[in-house]
Amino acid sequence: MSIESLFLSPVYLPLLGAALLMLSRSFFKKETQKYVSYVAVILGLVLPLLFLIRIAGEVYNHQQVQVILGAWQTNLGIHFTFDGLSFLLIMLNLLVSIPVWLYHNSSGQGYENFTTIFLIQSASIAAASLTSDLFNLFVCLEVMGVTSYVLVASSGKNQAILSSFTYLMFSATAMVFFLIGVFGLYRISGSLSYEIIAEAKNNLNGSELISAKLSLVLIVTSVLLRSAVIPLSGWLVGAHSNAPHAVSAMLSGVLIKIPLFALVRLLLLVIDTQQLGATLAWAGGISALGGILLALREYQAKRLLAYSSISQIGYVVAAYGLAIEYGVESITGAVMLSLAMLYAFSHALAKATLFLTVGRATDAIGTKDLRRARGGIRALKNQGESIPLTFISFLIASLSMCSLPPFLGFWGKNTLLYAAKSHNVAILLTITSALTIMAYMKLSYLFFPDKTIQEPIKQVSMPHTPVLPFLMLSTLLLAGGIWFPQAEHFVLTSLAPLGSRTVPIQSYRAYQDIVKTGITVLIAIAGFFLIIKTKASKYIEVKEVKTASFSNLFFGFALSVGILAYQLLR
Amino acid sequence: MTIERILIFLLFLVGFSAIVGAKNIIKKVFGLNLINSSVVLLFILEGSRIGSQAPIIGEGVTDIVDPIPQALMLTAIVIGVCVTALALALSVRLYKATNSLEIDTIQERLKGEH
Repeated sequence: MSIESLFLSPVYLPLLGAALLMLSRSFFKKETQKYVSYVAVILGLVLPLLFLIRIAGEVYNHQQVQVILGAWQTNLGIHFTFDGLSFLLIMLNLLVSIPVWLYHNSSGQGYENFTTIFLIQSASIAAASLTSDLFNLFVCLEVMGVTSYVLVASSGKNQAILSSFTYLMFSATAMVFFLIGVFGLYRISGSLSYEIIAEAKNNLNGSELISAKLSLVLIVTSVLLRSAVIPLSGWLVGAHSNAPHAVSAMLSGVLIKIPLFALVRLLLLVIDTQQLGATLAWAGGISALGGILLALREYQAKRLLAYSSISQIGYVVAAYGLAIEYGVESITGAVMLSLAMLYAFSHALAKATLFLTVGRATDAIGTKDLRRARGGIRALKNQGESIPLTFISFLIASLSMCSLPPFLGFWGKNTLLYAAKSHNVAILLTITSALTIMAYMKLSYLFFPDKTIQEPIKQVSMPHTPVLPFLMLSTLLLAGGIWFPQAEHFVLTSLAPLGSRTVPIQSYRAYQDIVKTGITVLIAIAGFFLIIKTKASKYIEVKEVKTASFSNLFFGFALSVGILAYQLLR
Repeated sequence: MTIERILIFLLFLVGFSAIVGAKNIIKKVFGLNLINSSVVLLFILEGSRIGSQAPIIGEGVTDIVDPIPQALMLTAIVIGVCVTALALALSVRLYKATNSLEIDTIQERLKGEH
């Protein structure tokens, strides 16, 4: 089978699976429906993964497919492009969503439409990464959004419904601005395909150019809101911390990164984006530092993880911004783009593992409050977990997050910092990596032995340990660490057709910075104990949980549009 | 042409101020609908500037308006309906849980739950 016949399978197979499931609800009993859901997942998630692995060789050899759906004329039909970028994004989605689905299935907390919605979401992610059509991107982002609002609300807790409502209002409003941006670009080019828009925009001048740039600003800002970059991140914490564990893992791991990378196709085609790239890089740096500072103030395990996601997406945005600033035709730009992608992988795998393990541990202990929750290993042992697999997976993921060897995060973060070292943003990112270690030390309280042996706060009976998902995610993190040079080479090569055709040679190997990593860890440990001993944490910690307010959203949005417009127009 | 644009802009402002300012969550959903409609009108208005006849190609029909914005807006309206339906469903759940539609009261009453 060839690449042409397989590349659309990540879009239509999940949809087929979802349709099967919905049909089965009207024909079969509950018991049979369960088997249908296995069939649907194998069809919708596992089969596309196998197909993608099958065509990985072609992607590595720079084969591309460009089609217009339904064989319409060039300026009417929807353009789809399959290349290294879409391959990697769909891979990212499938590698995380299969373990996440397995976890949810074994957790037994039933929301019976979960699998259907999950599959539709997977299809929309694949479509967003394939599309080269601005309006189609809008539709994919909306489908992605609607499915995630439903999944967040599916936890059934009232807090989750409020978070889902806030998330919906924020992102639906942003999408209206996106649509205004689409209008501005359609007006100048008479088309929605990225290539024609970019060509038209690059030939403009005068007032037309200003309105085209403003439209671009609106589109970029709405995408940044979906990716939760500070100051547009207010909605994320509530939505990600109140959702069911599996959904949090999916949203934090995959969903916030897809809009960002889907937009890169348009940004690479448009000229004069150096200023935009520089602004994005700084936004990423500020987001990384701000996110981790907010995370350190939290004492609720899942809220801490959610804030850490804002911080980690900051690294991705910083690398992405630098790639646009340098231009992907240049070797530094190409390296930065592939490092952004690799960092996205490393964060997705680690954060998904963390949400799943921390969720399981807090369920077993009976509280999410890090000031009281202790003895996670013992609590899980009481649930029949003789080998502390949850703890081991947690450890692997947090070590990777803190960028300690030999895991994927160590290579990802150090290579990124090395490549960005000539830019001032690297300072912000380096400070953040020390603070990240402190945040995860705080989180590891969950698994500290409980000195005052007491009865569990709430006795719960839990399902068996989901062995397979934890093993899959941990193995991927470890394998990514061991074969990082090969992975980096693969990503660089497959992303090369976007910019420079020659594949740059990376001579940097992260172990030359192992001493630096050691020093960072020592600083972090010293800082952590300093705060604990001086009781400074009392002053830092949040007093009450706040929900994101709409006036803050308005302020953040206006600020981002203002800054971007100023940078682009001056 | 200017008067239509000003009206569309005003419609947008009304909707946006409802999203940001209104305390009632149903009003917020209305606001979302209003800004959505104003963008739909904007597309249709600008799309109709070239040409004068409906875009149904037949005998003697030459000067048609651009059909793409209309096709796009059909999709946008459908998406808008889905989002509104979901938002209203969530509002009902919030009302059942807290017996209130005011966003501040809802936040206050849900504070104890985590």
